Amino acid sequence: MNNDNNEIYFSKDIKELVGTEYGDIEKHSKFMKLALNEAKKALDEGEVPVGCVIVHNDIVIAAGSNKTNIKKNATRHAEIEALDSIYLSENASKFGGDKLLSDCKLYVTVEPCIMCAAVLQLAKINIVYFGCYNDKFGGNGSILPVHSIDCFERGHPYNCVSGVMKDQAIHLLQKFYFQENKKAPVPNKRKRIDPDQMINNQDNSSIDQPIDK
Amino acid sequence: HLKKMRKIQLSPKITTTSIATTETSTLTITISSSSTTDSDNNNNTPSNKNKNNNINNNNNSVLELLIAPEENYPNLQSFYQQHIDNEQNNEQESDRQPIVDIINSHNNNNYIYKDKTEYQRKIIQFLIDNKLSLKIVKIPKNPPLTHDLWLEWNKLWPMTFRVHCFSTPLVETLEDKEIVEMNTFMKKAIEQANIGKSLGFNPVGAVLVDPETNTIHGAGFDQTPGNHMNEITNTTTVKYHLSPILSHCTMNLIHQLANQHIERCVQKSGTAGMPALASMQQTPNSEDDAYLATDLYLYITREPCIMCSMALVHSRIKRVIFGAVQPNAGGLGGCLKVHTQKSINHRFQVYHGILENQCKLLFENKNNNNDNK
Repeated sequence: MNNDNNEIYFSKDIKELVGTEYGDIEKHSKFMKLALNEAKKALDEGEVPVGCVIVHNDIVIAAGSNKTNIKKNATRHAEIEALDSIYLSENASKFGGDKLLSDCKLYVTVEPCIMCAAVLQLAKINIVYFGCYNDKFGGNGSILPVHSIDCFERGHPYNCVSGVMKDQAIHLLQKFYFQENKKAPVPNKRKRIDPDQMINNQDNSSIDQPIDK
Repeated sequence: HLKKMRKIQLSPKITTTSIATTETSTLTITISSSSTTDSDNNNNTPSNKNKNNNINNNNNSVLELLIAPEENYPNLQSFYQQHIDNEQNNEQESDRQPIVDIINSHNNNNYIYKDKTEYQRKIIQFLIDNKLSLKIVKIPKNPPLTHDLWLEWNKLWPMTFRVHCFSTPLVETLEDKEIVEMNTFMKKAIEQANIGKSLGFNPVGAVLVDPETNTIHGAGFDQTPGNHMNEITNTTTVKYHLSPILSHCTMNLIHQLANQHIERCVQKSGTAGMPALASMQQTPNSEDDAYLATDLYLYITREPCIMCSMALVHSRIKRVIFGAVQPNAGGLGGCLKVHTQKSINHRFQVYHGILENQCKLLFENKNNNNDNK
């Protein structure tokens, strides 16, 4: 509990990063692509497409995707799946427990929800990179800034960076809700455009390229 | 004397914070006539204009009410100070000159209030002309959260009290029978906490109850490894279903509930053993697909943390009853109020204070045991 209370935990957009931090942008997009691949797996399983990877010294040590429907448990979000894959594995004792995660970065396609933001505090993660904001449940600034509240006895606040390949993350979410709309018995008043077409019509910037298939 | 009573309301900044700080109050300047003794007339709600008119018709009292944060009116503040000083010194004659100074003063960071100085000057001029006095009254900034607070605050500032049905309804509104039931189930939760404590975990226990049939759907205790963990109980003897750091009482229970559900589905579909996940995938839209805790009540000895509170939102719990408040980390009022966030698509009722002392005692005993060992 001897945290420095003077430390300010930020939540920045990727474009706000400067210098060497911004120089790592290639690396960030590389890991975020892996997270997006996890999200695509979830989409194929009929889940809300959210995926994440946990990176330790540039090595992916865990990955997870949303499994709320399959596991009949609304709390099985990608972040928790990834953490469980670390701590419930047979090699769990090899890892240094809490110390391991404090050197780790988490890449997740959508902003962690309030629950997951608290989970990541308990896991003492170092830094979180996420794609798009979550206007309904976001725990890293959208609804509540849980990442920066020093409230847990055994947790630790963390920094987070938003907007890493957010267009792709939104694209996946739109795909999911587009699918779901097809099944809906009453057609929506608002006409939805197929996100695949939308992305083809757009001019893509250098970073925000569509996902390689 | 004025015949017409006016009420000026200048952004009273009634702000509600998510953190339960009820005692913060904003300063207001209330200007009332010193000649009339009807100080009760100050009680005008901003929302109750009809009442104002009634008073206006009945009394010919002079009353002007200014509701504003005190810091917006530095000149009035100094006028007030001046007035008090004058009263103390009984120097009624010599007070004219200083007041003019106050009115004309533009220093003391008054540039922020530039647009208001003209207004303030008018008010002060009005006060001088009518030989009125100034009085500063503190009024509550936030709406009252409890019935007791409302009774107390209502004396100086009539306000409406609306029980937020999904936040923290009053235990008094419950029937006796219901409270007895709550006590019995909370005792069950305390039993669970004691089991956890005997294993060396945090003494937090909980039960999930179906309120219609009064049957217990699940019971569990906190399993996070702590500093106070006994040496006998190491992690190998405990079978974790979740990461140990996340094995809070509530998370365990939700997991338990999901497993029960999957088992039931497997029995129904006839496929035995592990291919549960596969069968789930084949029938993703069955009627059992509903959220699991929709109709359940959770009884827990200590307030759930932020993570657990949000997990309960995700699981669509109906009601949570907890014993002791967790002041720094609680997600249902202790630190944040997750269950009343507007943007979140599910809200639930929260009661607390049932067998509070017994729930707190669990923690005290833990410390005693550690000292003995």
